[in-house]
Amino acid sequence: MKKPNQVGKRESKERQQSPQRPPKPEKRKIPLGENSLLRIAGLLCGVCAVCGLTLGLANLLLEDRIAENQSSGDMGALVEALPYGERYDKVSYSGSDTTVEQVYRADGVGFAIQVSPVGSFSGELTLMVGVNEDGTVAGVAVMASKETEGLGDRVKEPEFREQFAGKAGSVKLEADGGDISAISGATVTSRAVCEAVNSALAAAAELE
Amino acid sequence: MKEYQDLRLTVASSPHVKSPVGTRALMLDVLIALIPALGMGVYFFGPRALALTAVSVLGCELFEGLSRAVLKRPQSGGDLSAAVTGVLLAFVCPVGMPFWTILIGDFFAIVIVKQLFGGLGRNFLNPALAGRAFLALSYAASLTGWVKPGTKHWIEIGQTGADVVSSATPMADLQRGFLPWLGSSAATLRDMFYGNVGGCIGEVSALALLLGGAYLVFRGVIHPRVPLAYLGTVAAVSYLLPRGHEPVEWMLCQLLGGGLLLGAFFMATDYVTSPCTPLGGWFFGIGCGLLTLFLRAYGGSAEGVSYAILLMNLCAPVLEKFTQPRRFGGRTERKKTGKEGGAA
Amino acid sequence: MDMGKQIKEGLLTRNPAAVQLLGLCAALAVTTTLRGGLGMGLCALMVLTLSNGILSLLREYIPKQIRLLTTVAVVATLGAVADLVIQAFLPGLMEELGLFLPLLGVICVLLGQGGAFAWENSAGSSLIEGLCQGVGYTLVLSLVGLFRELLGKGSFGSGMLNGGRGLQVFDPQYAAGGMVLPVGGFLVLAFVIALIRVAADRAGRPRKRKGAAKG
Repeated sequence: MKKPNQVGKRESKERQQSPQRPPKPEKRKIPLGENSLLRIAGLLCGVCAVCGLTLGLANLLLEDRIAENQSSGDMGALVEALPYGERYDKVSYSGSDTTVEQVYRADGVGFAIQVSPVGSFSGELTLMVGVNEDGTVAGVAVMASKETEGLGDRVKEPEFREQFAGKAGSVKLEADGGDISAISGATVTSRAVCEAVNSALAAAAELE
Repeated sequence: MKEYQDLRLTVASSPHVKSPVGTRALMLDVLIALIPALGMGVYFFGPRALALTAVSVLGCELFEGLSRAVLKRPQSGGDLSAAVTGVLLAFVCPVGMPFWTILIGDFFAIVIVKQLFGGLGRNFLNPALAGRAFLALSYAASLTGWVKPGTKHWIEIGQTGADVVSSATPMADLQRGFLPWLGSSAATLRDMFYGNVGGCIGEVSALALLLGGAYLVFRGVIHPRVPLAYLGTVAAVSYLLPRGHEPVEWMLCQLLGGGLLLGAFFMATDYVTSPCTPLGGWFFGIGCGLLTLFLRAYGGSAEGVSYAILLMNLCAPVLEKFTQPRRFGGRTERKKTGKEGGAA
Repeated sequence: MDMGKQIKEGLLTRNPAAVQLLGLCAALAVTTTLRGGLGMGLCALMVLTLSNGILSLLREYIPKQIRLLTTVAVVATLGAVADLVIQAFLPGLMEELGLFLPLLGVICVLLGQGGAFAWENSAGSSLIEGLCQGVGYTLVLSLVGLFRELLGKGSFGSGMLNGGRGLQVFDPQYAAGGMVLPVGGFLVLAFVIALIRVAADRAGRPRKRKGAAKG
């Protein structure tokens, strides 16, 4: 099935040069035989077309399911931060706090605010803070954390997060004069959680 | 050394002068030099310091014996290098470290960093510091229980750092930008000199460490080159860049605080992991000093000595390569094949 | 096609990760748990097998000049489709694999050695080769993941067993956190490679002396 690909070209050149004639300017021929450039290019295009179609088809069939999965991931955090909500609707936030990523509202219950505090140890800490209608904290859920395992990561522990329930106005660590007891050895992360809760409380107050 | 004694013919290159000083003698000297620091550690932190050190030494020797047996190599525990690693590892841990944790550190230091790479002479990192780095990554909480020094605060041998209220250390104050006597630790320079401060067992007493270092230099175990370069760099740079404080005070704080003296005299001078060329040794010390200050200022932890020395350990082969002394009477070849002329 | 030989080679003597040292990037990155290692390995296995089969079927029709391009196109497409399927049906695994799920295509190009086997052999042979190499890769990744999770968190099968919590073999405060960090990854991978090479030696065949590290 396969022929060495140079044979065709060489043969045609030899055929042209053997007759005893003054050389004519060669007209550029586009060979259409096997292993021609056109055939190769065509095959490659065919392969890519099939690949593209397959991908497109897969995407079409699956994109709804994927979108559904993404929204339910956030759902877990929402319910943990602000229980008893029936629906959590996204609300636009026009305040100046850049650490607030997303605000959700549950009618009659309160707000759930996704915050990424600046002061975290690793720089990648995302929390969901639930704020009741009366301005007190409903709950704190950790959505994503790259804090040190065994130290900062321990802010995920329920005992630490429960401290924030019912707080209003602003929260501070005991070391800074408030009443939140930090995770031993993880002052930076604990402080960042307080920062996030404060941002959330402020944002909720603005939106009332 | 012992392996060669079993051969009938020993072939070696000149010079054929045998020193009576073997590895064991050197290690014994190091252990002796560490006794004052151990004493001060026990005085300030209680008998648990001694217990922790003993456990660490036993653990190291045990792991060395076991790993040599498993790897089917002749036993080397007798040369006491594992014992020294055990003592040094204990010295860079707080007194409250649980015994099982330090044994894991011993395992990492001896089996993985030392024996798996070929035993003494072939480790690419200082085993004690590598062990500590591993503990810092794996059991970070165990390295944070800083106890106040003094007989009133001795913790029981059965307790660990998690059982006591931790107190501030001078290094923590320095990291936050306060001179220790103005910060939470309330430690004066005199405290830091004698060792009446919070910290790891072996690093608190500057006096004891200086005595130990002087002993080592006097016995010829170490050359003062690396400690001088290291301490000199730290002194000079911290004097010139005192970060808003009075230069002399800041400089003394940096010199006396943390594990600097322990590192400079006992860790950076390790024969295996530091360059053996004189000029290389100077660069090594300077590099350690610069990295220590950099890590102390901008790193996540209050102390920079261990990572500074580990990083320079990695650079030691390169430093050696580029600082080979000129061959006496020969011409140094440059540029041709990239090989430096010098002692093989 | 000697299936027994191919199985032994795929698992031991020509194990793609432990002997040929291919795809080690993923072997370090996603193996913080058993589920990550197993999941990645199985995905790679499916993509590798399918792509080997497809490329082998195409070998009569694709001229030499565009074989490599075709390999890349086919494997990348299969990798992307696998990515979409995982996103749709196993979002937990997707989170676990993170950045390396989209890299499935790249890894499989490497594991298949650019389609070297598929272009020269029959479809049946190629399918089996892909399967065996995939199993070998999965073996290494699973072992690394198992030990890293066990030593680093004290758990077994987190994300898979016990409603996602996994079996806590011992209290995590005794677990060496460093094992789920890159340090532990390199250490455990080294031990697993050594283990498999010892097994390969015992299997009798002379193993490759040098493996160029890829991926």
